[in-house]
Amino acid sequence: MRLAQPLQALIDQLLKLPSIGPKSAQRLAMFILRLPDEEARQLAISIIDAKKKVFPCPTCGYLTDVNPCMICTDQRRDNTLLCIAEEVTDVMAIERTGFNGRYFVLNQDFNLLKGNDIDDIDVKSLQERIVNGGIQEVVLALNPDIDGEVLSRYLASIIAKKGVKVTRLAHGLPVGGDIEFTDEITLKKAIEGRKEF
Amino acid sequence: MKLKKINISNFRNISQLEYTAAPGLNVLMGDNAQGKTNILEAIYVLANGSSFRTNNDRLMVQYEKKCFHLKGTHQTENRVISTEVEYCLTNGKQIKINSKKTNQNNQNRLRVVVFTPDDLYLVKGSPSRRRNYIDYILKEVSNEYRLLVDNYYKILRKRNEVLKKNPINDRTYNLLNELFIEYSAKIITARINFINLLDSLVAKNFGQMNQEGAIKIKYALSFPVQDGKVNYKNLSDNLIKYVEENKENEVRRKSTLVGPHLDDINIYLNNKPARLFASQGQQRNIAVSLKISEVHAFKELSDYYPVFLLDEVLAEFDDQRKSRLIEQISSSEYQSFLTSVVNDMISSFGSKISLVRNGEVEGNN
Ligand SMILES: [Zn+2]
Repeated sequence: MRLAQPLQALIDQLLKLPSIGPKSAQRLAMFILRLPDEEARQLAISIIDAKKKVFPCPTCGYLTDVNPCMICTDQRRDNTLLCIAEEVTDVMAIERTGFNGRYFVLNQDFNLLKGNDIDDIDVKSLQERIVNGGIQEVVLALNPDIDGEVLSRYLASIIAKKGVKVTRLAHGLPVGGDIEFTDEITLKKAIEGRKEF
Repeated sequence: MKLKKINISNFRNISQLEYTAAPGLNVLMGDNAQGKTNILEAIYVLANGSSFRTNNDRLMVQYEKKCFHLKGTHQTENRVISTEVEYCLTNGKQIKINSKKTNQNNQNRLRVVVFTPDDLYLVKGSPSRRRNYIDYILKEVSNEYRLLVDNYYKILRKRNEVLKKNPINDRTYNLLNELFIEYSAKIITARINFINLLDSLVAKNFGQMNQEGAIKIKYALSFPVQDGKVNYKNLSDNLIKYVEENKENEVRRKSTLVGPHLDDINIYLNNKPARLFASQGQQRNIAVSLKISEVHAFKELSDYYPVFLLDEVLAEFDDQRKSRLIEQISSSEYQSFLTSVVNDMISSFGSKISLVRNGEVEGNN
């Protein structure tokens, strides 16, 4: 059976989204077709808008539409406490716990099985941030898997050389787990119980 | 821990079966290919979520059926726990304990130790067989050990990947090697402590089963340890040294050449290596002793007995050994399930005997 070309095009685009199979793509396309014109337009505009206006904050790496981002300009936050996270989604999870320091998001892939080396990690901006930022404690909030552990040890040694205290999330995080998918209470406890590296 | 009841449907050649278990020895008797082992397998899958016979869950679904379903209740010291395992060709596996969705590592699940005819090669077979033997029980009694081993194998794969690079990145290597040493030393320490416990149990057990011969088991490291002391500190110090000295070799071979994944367990009969000097019959006796000792070690480490599953263990034994073995397991505190082709030896031990024919159990109530 041949579908109308614009419908087929929509389905093909939706299929590119993660964890969307042919059936889901078809269902989503049908949902979109049934939307009132205005809502469908809003959906399309939102995609273009987000793509155009959202970028990683040059200071912390969090996604923002203003420079510096809302977290970086928030005056109530503790300037002496810096949390290093792997990805923006980890920051979103940590923010829900009420963490009140600043962030540094690595936004870099590190997978030893894919052939990454520790030297692939660009630490220059992190080093500058630590030297210039009046930071007294760095909390490493990397995923508790093997790559995260290797990366944590590497960053800890670099930060310690700058004379800054390094802590890490307390255990209780499931090993092999993912910060993004950890519930708030567990994550909150992990931040509160952070230990010196 | 005792299994009270299991319901099996659409599993291998079993369409529908309910088995109410006796607290002691349960004998499943019948000709070959009637479904005796399938019942043991179903109990094992109920406990572990996967089989000891295949890694392919699809094979356990009955011919032309879509899903198999297992449901059982077991009694711990103070609770009755129900477990359900369902596997469907289309949407995979689901495990429920006390009606709540869970995974195969749930603390409340049924615990079993299985003896398969393959285990008769425990003495003579490859080292991985013996490593799996001790790892199975250590993982069963300690989730921490399970994580250690799972993570160790992840580290190992990454370490081998790092060793494949030319030239290797020393900073990455050093960081990963640090982890490799830590995990290795932790695993080996746990294994050696366990072997010490097991050694005394096997010696006792083997003595009960066999008139002659003394048995000894020792952990065999894949690297030398200088002053013989085996504790975490000394193990990691010696491993660091060995890895340093052999780095060039590992880089050339692009592979990790030392570590708990290459260790072995040496078994001695009358102070001689059993895999070389014990007769086939003696090796089988040792294997059975090792397995029974595993059940007792489980009890020592976790304060309760697992359920013991014995598949076709009698086939290779002479009458005297058969009756000694049956006497021992039927008079034990633990619950056991044993498959057998023949009746003659067993009927006198006051156990529950059921006849399995064509995927059904006769004389079951
Ligand atoms: Zn920012």
